Amino acid sequence: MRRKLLQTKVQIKIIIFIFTSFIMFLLTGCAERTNLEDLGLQTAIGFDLQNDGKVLGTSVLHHFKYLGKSPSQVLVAKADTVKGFRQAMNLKTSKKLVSGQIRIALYGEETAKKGLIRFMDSISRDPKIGTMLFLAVAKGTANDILSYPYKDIENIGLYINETLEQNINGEQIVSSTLHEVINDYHTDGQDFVLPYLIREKDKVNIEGLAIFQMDKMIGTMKPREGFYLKILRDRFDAGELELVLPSKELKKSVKGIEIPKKININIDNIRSTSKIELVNKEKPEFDINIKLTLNIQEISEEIDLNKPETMKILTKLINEAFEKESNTLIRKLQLLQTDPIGLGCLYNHSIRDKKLTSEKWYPLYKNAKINVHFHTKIMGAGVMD
Amino acid sequence: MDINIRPKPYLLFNAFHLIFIIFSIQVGVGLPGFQRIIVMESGHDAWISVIVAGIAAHLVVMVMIATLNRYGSADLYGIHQDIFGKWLGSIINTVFIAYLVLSTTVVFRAYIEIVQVWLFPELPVWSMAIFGGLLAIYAVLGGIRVVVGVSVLSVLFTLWMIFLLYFPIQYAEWKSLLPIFDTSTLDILKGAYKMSFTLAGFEILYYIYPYVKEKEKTSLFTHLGLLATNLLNLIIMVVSLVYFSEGQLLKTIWATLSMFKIIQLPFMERFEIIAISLWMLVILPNAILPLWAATRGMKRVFGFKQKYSLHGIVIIIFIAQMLLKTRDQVNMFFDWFSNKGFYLVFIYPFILYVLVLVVQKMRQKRGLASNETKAPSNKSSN
Amino acid sequence: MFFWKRKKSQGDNLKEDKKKNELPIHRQTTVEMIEMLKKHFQHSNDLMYRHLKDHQIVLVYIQEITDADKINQNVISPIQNLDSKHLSNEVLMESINVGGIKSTNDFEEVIQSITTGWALVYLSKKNSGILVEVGKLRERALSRPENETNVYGPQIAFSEALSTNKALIRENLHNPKLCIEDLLVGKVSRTKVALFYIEGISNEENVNTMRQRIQDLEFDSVFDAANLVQLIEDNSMTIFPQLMLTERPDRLGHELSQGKVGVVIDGSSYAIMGPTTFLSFFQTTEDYYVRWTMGTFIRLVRFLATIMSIFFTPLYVLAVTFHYEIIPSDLLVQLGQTRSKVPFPPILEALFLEFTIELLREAGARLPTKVGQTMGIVGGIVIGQAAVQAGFTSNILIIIVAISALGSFTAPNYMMGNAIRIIRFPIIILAGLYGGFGVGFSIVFLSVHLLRLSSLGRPYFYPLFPFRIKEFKDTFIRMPFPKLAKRPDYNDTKDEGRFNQHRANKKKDIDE
Repeated sequence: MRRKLLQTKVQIKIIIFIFTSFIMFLLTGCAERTNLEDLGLQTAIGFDLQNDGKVLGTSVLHHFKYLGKSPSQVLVAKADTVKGFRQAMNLKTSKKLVSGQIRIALYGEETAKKGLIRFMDSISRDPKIGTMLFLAVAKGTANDILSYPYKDIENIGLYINETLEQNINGEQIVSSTLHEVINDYHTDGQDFVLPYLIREKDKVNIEGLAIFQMDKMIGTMKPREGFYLKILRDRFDAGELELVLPSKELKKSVKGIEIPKKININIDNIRSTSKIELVNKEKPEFDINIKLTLNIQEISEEIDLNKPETMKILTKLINEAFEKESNTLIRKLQLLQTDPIGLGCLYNHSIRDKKLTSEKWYPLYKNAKINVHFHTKIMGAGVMD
Repeated sequence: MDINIRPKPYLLFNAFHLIFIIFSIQVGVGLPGFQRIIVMESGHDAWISVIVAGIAAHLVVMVMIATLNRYGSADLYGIHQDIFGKWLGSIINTVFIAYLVLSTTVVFRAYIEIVQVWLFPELPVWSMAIFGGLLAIYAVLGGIRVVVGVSVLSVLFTLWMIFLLYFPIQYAEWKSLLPIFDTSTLDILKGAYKMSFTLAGFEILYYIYPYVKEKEKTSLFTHLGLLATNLLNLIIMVVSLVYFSEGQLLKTIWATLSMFKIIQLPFMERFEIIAISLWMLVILPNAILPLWAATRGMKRVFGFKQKYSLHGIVIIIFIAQMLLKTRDQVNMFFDWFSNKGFYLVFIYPFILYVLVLVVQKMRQKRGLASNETKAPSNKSSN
Repeated sequence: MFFWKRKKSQGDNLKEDKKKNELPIHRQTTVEMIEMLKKHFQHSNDLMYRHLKDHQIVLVYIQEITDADKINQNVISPIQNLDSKHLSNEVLMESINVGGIKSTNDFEEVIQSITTGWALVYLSKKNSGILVEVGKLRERALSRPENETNVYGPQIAFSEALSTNKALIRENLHNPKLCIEDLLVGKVSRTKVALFYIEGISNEENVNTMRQRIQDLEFDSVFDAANLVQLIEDNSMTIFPQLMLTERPDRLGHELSQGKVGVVIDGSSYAIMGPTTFLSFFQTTEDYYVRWTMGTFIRLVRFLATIMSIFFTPLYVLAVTFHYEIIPSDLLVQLGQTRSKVPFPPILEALFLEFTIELLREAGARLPTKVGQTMGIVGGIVIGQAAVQAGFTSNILIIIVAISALGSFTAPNYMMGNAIRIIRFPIIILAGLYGGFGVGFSIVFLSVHLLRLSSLGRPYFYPLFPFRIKEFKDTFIRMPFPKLAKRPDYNDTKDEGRFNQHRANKKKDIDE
């Protein structure tokens, strides 16, 4: 009985406890509410550095409407700091501007050439902003791409996001999420590349890749070069490519009377793994060995693929074609003094006790010897023999 | 005050719960952001520091268990009383109670800091502190069984988050770990020293030891729990090192939470928000185990009822949290706390062990000498 | 909250009553006897008495609860055939053709028996009377279980009569070790309660606790098991039931054989079982009737449904109110569009819709089955549609609320289903006020709360705490029977083994 009484006492205490908690909930008020429909969700932001040193910010917002399309709204404002224009923009819209749903950050070409780190730093400092948003460079100004009234595109921010996502998944371009870019930036001996976007009338296209040295844009790259960059950098899954091969060595296998000088072939299902080795530490020399498997999808001439010999020659030719184009790309990068393959990073992690900075690396890199070897294996040639 | 305590049988818990207790009290507010502090010292060899610190922790636990084994069923308060006598013992016990109370404060304040930065910048400290305080009171009022139960649930309900590391691993750059042993031994040791804040917590064994049912298995399960934490720390450290570049890691305050940011599921993104919300369950054992130990101490040393001292201590903790206003103050307080904590947690057990050995040896001699005249006086210590 | 025990004055009254009643039957004449009984029954009209054999014998009974045929044929006519000169208690007991017969001199017992349908046969000036069981069983036919329906397994439920229920349990467990103890509960209602356990399996501590709790009750009236269960629970300040109610005799039989203690109360078609864990409220006997794969699957579905039911709506509220970042962009447009027309903050919207669902459920439960069904459809579709079109709620929320309502109905136990529905509300409110922090707080609070509960003094959140991974095979999942060789550790049974596992799992070589 006494135990029960004690229990009762404890239980009364619990009632008091629950009661006080309830009072507390009411007293403490609550966190600041940000109801979804009251928010202006930024999906894309663009930055253009003006001549007077101010930042021209453009942001694309979601505007929610009950039925039908939800139109996007574009706001433009100028400010001294990267974050400053949000305040100015808030004055121009009925919704509260928030940054948690930004999917893409776009920089004007001129801005990119002057250096991006200031912008990237301010974005990555904000805990509200995710690290999976894409960075890209706009040909011309970012403002131009974002504020153009497109006919078919509902929300340009989401549209660019989907375009990039689709192409990255399809292994067409190198992924450029905020995390990866910042990561590359902070890695000594590794530079990043960003997608290079262009507006052609009512469409936005990926024109290629913008090449960066540190945080400054120094050139561009064609999508095809981007493909090679991707193969050289890391593993590659399922892409497709068109190659032009000289026909000289294939003469015997080609059926038909007239043999053209060049044979076009289309390969797909390309899978590759690249292995980069530092051969010489004193005078940097790298061996890049790339194992490649692919399917032949289409050949412009009729070739008897059943002969093992033909296959051998074809393999050799493909290797050579790949090597040639890769070497061209590497030469270009070396001349530009930018290292998106990350050879410097590898060098840095292979030597001890020497703190390699990017400044020290670029001269070394320019003169480094880089040997590329492709090891192709043709898996098949489609469903028809 | 008796040196040994014999709790009622229904209050005892099975020894294997120690795995959960040790794991849950070590995993807490240190884990979201320990990477930066270690990497500052030992660069990309930080994972070696984690291993070194882990081994050190195992050593400390060995000494702690050896000390406890010299008594039958004593806690730290009893041992102090036995070694230092009533007055000095009480003073030292008070220091330890203060340490426990401070560690609860640190845990709550650190969590509030995380919530303020990541979720609600404008939510005042005191409102969250009230929530924490109420929870702590409610849990500790349930006694040792509830306190141990909370640590079990905390582990069971949050362990699945380890699998989320799958996402950052996809972005891993494994060569960032190379070359191994690039950092000097001194820097690695410095890094290991910085781990003390993350690793601290296992000293709770000093207080809960009397409540373990199978005392002979204490050693096994404590070490297992410690090993689990060390593995977890190691995994997280390695994943952070390969996911972030070194320069980036040095700038990231809460690297573990930043890693959760990249998770994108078809129905949910930005997992760090969920993780921070659930983190309250992770930190609760960190808060209530020391709190419980502190109230035990108040009872053992000063004879206060646990019920009453609990409320008093929670109010003190609440006020202490309010005093830490800015980030700078919080950081300074944490640094001060972890520096002092290093000596109490990692160094003191060795000193105590030596003292216990010496005192017991002396007593034995004296006991032998006076054996013929009177009964041995060290009855309580056996 | 045993508030009924603290009123000392009431308890004292009862003791006085007892003293008064403790008069033995002592050599009274039949007329004196009748006067005494009349006085005790407050001269109630339905107390019938009949003198037989020249006022030597008196027969006393209550007309409405006794069987007139039985009295006439099996009691009166044999007595009338007796020789008037050699009447004695022994002769009477031999001649009366009724199975239930006992001799007593305890007046208290006489009164108690008469109220429960026995008749007193009193031979004048003797030390004891004879009690004859002539009760009329007013009971309905046994029916199918209403609230715990199974596809497989016996389709029979307890009825309101204690004797029938006892029989049903006996039919399930033909075991002489099955102990049935009769107890009495309620100062006014005087309800008969039977305590069940299997000697040699059940832990004595559990039996004693249960018996003690029932005996200690000083509540005035107890009419139903659901009533009794609230009085003997460990903690009445929680919304979680700590003792299980079941209407299935096979369930009770199963649990008794696993070492639990059962209580059946007269007038209730539910039996109480204990001690119980939180997780066992999500198990049914059907899990054992279907194959183990199916049983495991159903159990996992139930747990998932429960978690969804509790956290789905709060998740919506927190995402739409505070953490818009966690919504993927594809979903975001949908959510934003539906929310844009709603004039209320998400928390009010969610509470409003949850409340509507509760209305529908409650109204459906009170109405006759056929009307109830129509109500559900009309309410669900019409109100839902109208609310969306009027812009009161977003249709995504309607889906979420409907799913969580469905989820709460998957809990096989009605009480637990109710509890789950109720705890959703505070969590929604916390989610609306503090977002993720609030939901995190409620998860932690619930965990601590469940840890603090106990059932008959045993931990309620078993096997999560104390942690027993071995018991997971029959809690979260249901392993095949050869793996379930031990009775649950939780019941702390005297005899642990259900069968010889060694023999069952003996491995044979190929072609042996």
